[in-house]
Parts: sequence; structure tokens; C-alpha cells
Amino acid sequence: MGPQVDQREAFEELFAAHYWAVRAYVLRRAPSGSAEDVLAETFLVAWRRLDSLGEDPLPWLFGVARRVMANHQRAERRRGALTARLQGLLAGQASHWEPPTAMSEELALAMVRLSSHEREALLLVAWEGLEPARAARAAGCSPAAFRARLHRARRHVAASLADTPIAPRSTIAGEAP
Amino acid sequence: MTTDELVIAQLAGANPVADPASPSAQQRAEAERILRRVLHDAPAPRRSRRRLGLLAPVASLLVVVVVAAVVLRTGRTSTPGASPSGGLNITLSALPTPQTPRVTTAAMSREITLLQRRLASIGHGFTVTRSGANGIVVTGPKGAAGGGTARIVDLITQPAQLRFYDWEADVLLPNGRTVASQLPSQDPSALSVSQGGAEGAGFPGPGSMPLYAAVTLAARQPGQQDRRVVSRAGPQYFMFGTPGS
Repeated sequence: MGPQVDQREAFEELFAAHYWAVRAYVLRRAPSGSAEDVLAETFLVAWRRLDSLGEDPLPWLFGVARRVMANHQRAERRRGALTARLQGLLAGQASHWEPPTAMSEELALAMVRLSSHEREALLLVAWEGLEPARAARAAGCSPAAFRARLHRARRHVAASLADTPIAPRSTIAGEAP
Repeated sequence: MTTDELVIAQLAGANPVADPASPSAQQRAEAERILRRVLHDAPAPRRSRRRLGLLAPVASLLVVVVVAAVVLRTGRTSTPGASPSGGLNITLSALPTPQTPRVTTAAMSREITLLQRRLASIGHGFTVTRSGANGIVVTGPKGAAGGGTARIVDLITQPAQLRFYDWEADVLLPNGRTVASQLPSQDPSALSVSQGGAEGAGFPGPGSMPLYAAVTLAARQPGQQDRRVVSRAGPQYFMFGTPGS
């Protein structure tokens, strides 16, 4: 059996093991119309990097998919920039994240107010079910940075849901456990 | 349930896409289509030689350090030594090879150019001239051998070697990490260095930095003992600059 056959089999195993999880990750964040392209590009990167994948490639695949989606969104924005400028819509586009219809209005508002990093940290845990260490790999940051990000995101959302002012970060960091 | 757990639980309840326990035929067909698209559109990845303990000649990763295709096997026909004037005088003859079955004028010209380049790397004053159909004469001033005629003969008759250098493993990004370590996370700077710009890989572009910035960045990196160098006890420094400086 040649090396290329081995590689193909290894890739097909990787695809079978993780395709559905990556597909769900993409569909939760990208318009369904572009999901197939995003998935194909994500697994194309995995195919090219097959030899350098570790034993737990799922968080890495999530990270690749997130960047592929970001590239798609940038391309879409470039295409739509002229139209948006003409319509005067470019200003005020604070967030490109669209909450799912199943989400309550209060929760959606709280999520939209988060930074993209904080929102992604929450969603990796709540939707993808990743432990913080694996989620950190998907987010492309250290576990410590991810935990801090997740902590901030939870506090912001909790405060927003409780309709209370959000405590300054220095106060949050200094709180007793 | 704590407030934090409540936030996660509410988000989980609003998950718009459940993991399909049993995908539909349409979903499986979509997956099959994507798999075919990836495998058919892209060539098989090359195996990483880092895993094999070797340097990897992957096109996008590498800078060719030495590229010299010798099409002729150069054989000595006379004993090398000193000319009557005391200078260096070596006569060589070009022999046909399987790759170049006939010693043509073009092949001789290429060979002479190659020898001139090699000799220029060790000193000045060498002359390389063609002699007859397949002869090449190398002459040099007195003392040009610089320690031995045998060294010159070795230099100009050794087959050329094609070497690859896996520079992604060593090139530093502005954040102080190597390109290779940042590629799995698709770092834009790492991708820029790895894949290059419009000019192609290896050319200065958005991922590169000025020489001074590169030197100051490199100076902040921790020292690393080169296990291949066992004769030195202390640190080893390298000096570099633009060619000819």
C-alpha cells in the first residue's frame, strides 16, 4: 500500500470522525448557503496539513473553520462595501453575528453586546461542548487567556440578563472566589 | 445552579443546530460531495520530513540554498600542479554522462560558468578557459591555491549538491514565535511568510520585517545549543549582512 493511499485513508477517517461536528459548528455561525464552501475549504486545509495534525484535531478544525468563515465574511464585506456606503449602512455595523431565532431576545441582546472573542468563548463551551483546554485551542489562545475570556463573557451576559450594571474588569479580577 | 451555569444552560437551549445522530440521505450525500471535492481538487499532501528527522523539501517551505545542476562529469586528464610561472594550472576534460550524452558547446559553456562561480567563492585571479572540444584549463596566480591544489581540484570536480533548508522552522514572526509553530492556527503573518505574496514564497512581503527589527527580535530569543557543534563550550555568534557588504 503506497503512502498516498495511507494518507487518503487517514484523511477519510478524519473526515468521518469530525465532519458532522465541524458541520454543526459552521452552520451555527455561517449562513447555510456558504456552509458547503466553508466545510470544503476547512477540510482542504486539513488534507494539506494531514501530517501535522495532533491526536485531537477537532479543536484545530474548529479554529480553521472559524478563520475560513472570517475570510468569507471579509470577502462578502468587500463586495458589499460600495453598496453599503451608498446606502449609508456601513456605519453602525458593530456586530456581524446574528443570533439564532430560538434565542430569547434578552439573551440575544446580551450576546450581541459581547466582543467576538468573548462570544466565541461562550459558544465553544455551550454549543460545541468543549472543555476550556480544548476550546482554547479552537480559539487560538492559551488556556489561561481562554478562561479569563470565558469568565468575562459569563459575567457580562449574567449582568445583562439581570439588567444590572456590568462591574469594571478590575473589580471582577479582584473578587474573592 | 450558579449564574455561570445558568448562562451556559440558556445558551445550550438556544443551540440552533443539533448534532445529527442519524444524518439524512441528503446530508450524507452532501458530506460525500465535500469529501470528493477535497480529495479530487487537491493533490496528495507531501509527507513531512520533520517526522522522519530529515529536512523537508516542500516547495512552499523552502529556499534553495544551492542549485547547481552539473550536466557534465569533469575528469582530470593531467596531473594538477604548478605552471612554469609558479601559478596554478589544472587541465580538465569533460566527459559525456547519461543526462548529456554529447559534450556540446552549450554544455561546455555552462560548465565553465559553474567553475568560475565556484572558484570566485574562494579567491580572485582564477581563469577558466576552454581548450579544444572538451578541455577546460584552470589557471591561477602563484599562491592562489591557498593551502593546496588538491583543495581546488576537489572544489571544481565535486558533483553539485542540491540542498534544502526548512526555514519555516527557524524564521521568527513579529510575535517572536516561529512560522512553523503558528501555521496550524493559520496566523496571518505566518501564512504570509509561508505562502508569500504575489511574488511567491520566500520574497519579502507583509510577513517580513526590516533587518534591524529582525536582529533585535532574534537577540531577544533564548539561546539554543547546537548539538552538531561540540567543539565549542561557549555561545556561538553569527555575523551577516547583505551580499558584498
